[in-house]
Amino acid sequence: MKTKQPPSWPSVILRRLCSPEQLEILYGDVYEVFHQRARKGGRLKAKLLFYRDAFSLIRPFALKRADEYHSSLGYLSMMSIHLKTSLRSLFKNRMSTGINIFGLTIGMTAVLLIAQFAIFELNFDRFHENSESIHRVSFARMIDNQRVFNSATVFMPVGPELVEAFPEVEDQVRFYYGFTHGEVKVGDQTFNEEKAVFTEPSYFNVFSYGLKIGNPKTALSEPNKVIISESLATKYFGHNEAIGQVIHFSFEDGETDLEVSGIFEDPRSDSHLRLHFLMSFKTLDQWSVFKEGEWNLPFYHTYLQFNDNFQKSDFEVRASELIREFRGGATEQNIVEELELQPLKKIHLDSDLTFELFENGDRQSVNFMIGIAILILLIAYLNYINLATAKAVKRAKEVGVRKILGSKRRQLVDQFLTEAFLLSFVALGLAIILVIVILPYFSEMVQKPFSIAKDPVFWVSVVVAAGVGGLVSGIYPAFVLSSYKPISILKGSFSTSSRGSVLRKVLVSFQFLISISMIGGTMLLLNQTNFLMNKDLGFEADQIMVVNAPRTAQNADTYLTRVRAFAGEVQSLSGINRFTHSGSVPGKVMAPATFQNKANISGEPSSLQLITLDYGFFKTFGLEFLKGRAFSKDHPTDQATLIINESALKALGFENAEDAIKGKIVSIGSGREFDVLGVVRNHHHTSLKSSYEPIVFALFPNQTLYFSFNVNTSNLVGTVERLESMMSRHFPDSPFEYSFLNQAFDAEFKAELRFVRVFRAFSILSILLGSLGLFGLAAFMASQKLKEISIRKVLGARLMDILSLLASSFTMSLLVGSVLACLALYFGGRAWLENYAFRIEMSWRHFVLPIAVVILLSVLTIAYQTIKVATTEPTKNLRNE
Amino acid sequence: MKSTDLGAFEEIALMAIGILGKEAYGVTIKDEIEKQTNRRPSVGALHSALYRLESKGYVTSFEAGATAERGGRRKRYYEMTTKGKEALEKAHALRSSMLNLIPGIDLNNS
Repeated sequence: MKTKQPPSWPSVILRRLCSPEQLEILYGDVYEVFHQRARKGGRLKAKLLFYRDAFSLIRPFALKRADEYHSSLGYLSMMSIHLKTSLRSLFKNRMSTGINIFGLTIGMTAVLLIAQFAIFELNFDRFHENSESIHRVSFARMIDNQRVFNSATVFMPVGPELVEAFPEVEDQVRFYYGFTHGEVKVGDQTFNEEKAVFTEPSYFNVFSYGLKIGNPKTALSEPNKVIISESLATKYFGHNEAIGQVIHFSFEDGETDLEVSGIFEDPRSDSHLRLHFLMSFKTLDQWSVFKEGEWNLPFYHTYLQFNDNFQKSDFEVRASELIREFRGGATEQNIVEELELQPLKKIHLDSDLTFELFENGDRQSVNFMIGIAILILLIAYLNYINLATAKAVKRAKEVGVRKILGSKRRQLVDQFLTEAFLLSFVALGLAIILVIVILPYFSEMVQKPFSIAKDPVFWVSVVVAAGVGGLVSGIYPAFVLSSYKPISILKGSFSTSSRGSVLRKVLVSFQFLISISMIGGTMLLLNQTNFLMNKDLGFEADQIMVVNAPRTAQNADTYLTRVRAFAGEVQSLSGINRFTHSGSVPGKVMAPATFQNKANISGEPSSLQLITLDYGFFKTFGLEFLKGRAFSKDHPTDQATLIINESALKALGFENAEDAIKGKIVSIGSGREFDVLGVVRNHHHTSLKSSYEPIVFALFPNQTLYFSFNVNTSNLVGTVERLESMMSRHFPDSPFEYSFLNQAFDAEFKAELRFVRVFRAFSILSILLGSLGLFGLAAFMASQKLKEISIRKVLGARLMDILSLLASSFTMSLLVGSVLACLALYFGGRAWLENYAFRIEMSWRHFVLPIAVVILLSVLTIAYQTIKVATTEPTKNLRNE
Repeated sequence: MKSTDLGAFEEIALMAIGILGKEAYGVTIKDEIEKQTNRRPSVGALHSALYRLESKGYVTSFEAGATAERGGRRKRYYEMTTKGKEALEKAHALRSSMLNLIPGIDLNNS
């Protein structure tokens, strides 16, 4: 029987490391043991143990002694000679060393900076002990398999019901925030809290949050308790004791007194739940509206903690069945409602649902940034390879002499690799210093509060990566350089190898490809962002000032009377053109509502968005009527009518505005019928990125969250001051915080603009590095062709001829690079633009301009070199032979 | 009594060499150790111990006997020296005299 031989590759490594006489005996034993084991059974086991035995031989006693390495010198002393000669040669070729170190440093800095950013973004919410097993429950409503509603929130009883019904659910915690700000009164001061949230004591079990002061077991177990962050405690009470203080809280659904029962550390910035104000969930019990709507209002952020028996897909199906049972007959046949699970760790980058508690990050831009960083580093290393092989001619004599003096090829390879490593690590050192200096600015630029990674694994892998980079970029030049035959070099019959120049051309075209794509990408990004920013919003954003409507008096019957009285007076204020109050303003959440066209009652209902408002809304915001008219005080019957926008008109299935005015629509919730009073032109309500939302406007002045003022922009300060004093007279308890609508919409583009800035900075870097490489390459070409140029000059060639002579060696690379870049731009750009509902068309400019820029830069760098050579006296170059 | 510089694993390897007599080389020593102690040393660990034993003068070695199974590589046979034998005896004497001093352990009774 023929026994299988053990794998042979370990011996290759061992032969490098171990002393040959030891190895013979030891490896013999390893072989014998292998066969012995293979006979006994378990071929695989024998093989695995073979590896163990083979590598166990790498021990001090078995290693090669220093004099067994190479020829006669010890390995270490050889290293120090490599190092010395490397330094000499690096100092001798100052220009190429400078270009290489500069390029690599910039490239590594870019990579390190972006790595910090990526590490921050990718590690959100990992600090929770149970982060693996926590999932958020989201809610999706499908009509005819189309996702019409998908929220990060579910119905109030979902969490507890799931704990009850499924043994794999260990615990749950719910959050409720009124979708708008809450108002907090401390003594005689009033504050607005954007994210004031109700939650349960299990908050401390599910998440790894604790209390600095107070007992986590009891702090949230009673109604009317609140725990606040340290910074809020300071804001409210200064240096006074906060625990036990009573504050007054009011929001859309009611108002109540709260006792401060705990203080916690300010939330971490790498959590998607950055909450400062947490009230006990039981506080909600005092308002009946929550109990009544428990299976109708999907407004509760619910997190589940699972134990080990959990299977996601199976759970989603069974949980969805469960809620269908509870929701009962309310669902129509073509409507399907489902519960879905989102892993906690993925929420920050992958979730963008309705009613997110905070704005999340974006995985696409993280991936984009990582890609850019890698490309920049690649350009820098390609520069090194290019310059090193181009330099080959210059160093050929060195190689020849070394070989004659007895250098082995290995030693030469080692020598050149040492140079590459040296460059790589010097650049890494410089880059780390640069990163430490730049990081705060970069952090501000991308608006993410991150600091330098402290993870040792990260830094070890950075050093390893720099080593691998040095190896990979050094290995090709090392082998090319060490392969020269000493006789041909020293006889002078040596010329540049064509092998090397082909590779060089490929690498240069690759660099052209990257540079052109980066410029084109930046242009596309810039154009698209500008397009969105300058797009007509569909309403007058410039003059609208928005103030959060007073809360405290909201539930009183007199509220509307007071608002109307305020409205009457505010109109007389100079500087204020118009006033209205409503349940939403552009940029803010609207209420989801389902309506149906009465003419098509058997058809499917449409999910629309509802804005409740008072008279004057359309005038204040300058919304344009296509048909019909606005609500008017002169027609009391307007209460039973609605106004819709174009998009809602389509959703409801009306032919045109004419058709809609004559029609009636039915509210699915209440069954009430409404006439359509008017149709308005679409406007951008929540975002410029998504398409127009279908909106229904209802005259329902009691549901007020925002006061909107159409103001004169001249003497704005005076107007705001007068308005503030008037507000405080009418609503003495409310804080006066105003914002302008155009600012709100600009804020939406902050993320985009940030991204554009970063992208632009990095693409400039990549172009810079690319031309730097080209510059170095052109310099070497020029010096190589020094004699040719001089002779041509003597024979009467003009500057342009010489320029084209040098440039011609790059034209093929440029051509190939441009074609590939155009393809990359076309397909990449098209895929990216598809993310936007409103987008620019790609045109020839996006392809031609980047190429033109790159050509211009290349010609300039080559021209510089050419002129330098061409303007020297030809005799100087020809004289010395 | 002067202690010896014999490590625990070295001692086991030395005893295995003693047991095997003329047949002691890497693989047989390894098998013997496995048989006696249930320990499964890697080839490298074993040879490391053998190397130390040889440099301390407890064993001598000679090379011979290449087989096909070893890929034509020679074996290194080991033989215990008198010094090695003394070291074993010393280690044993030291151990038993000390064990006897521990209350509750009586080697003669077992």
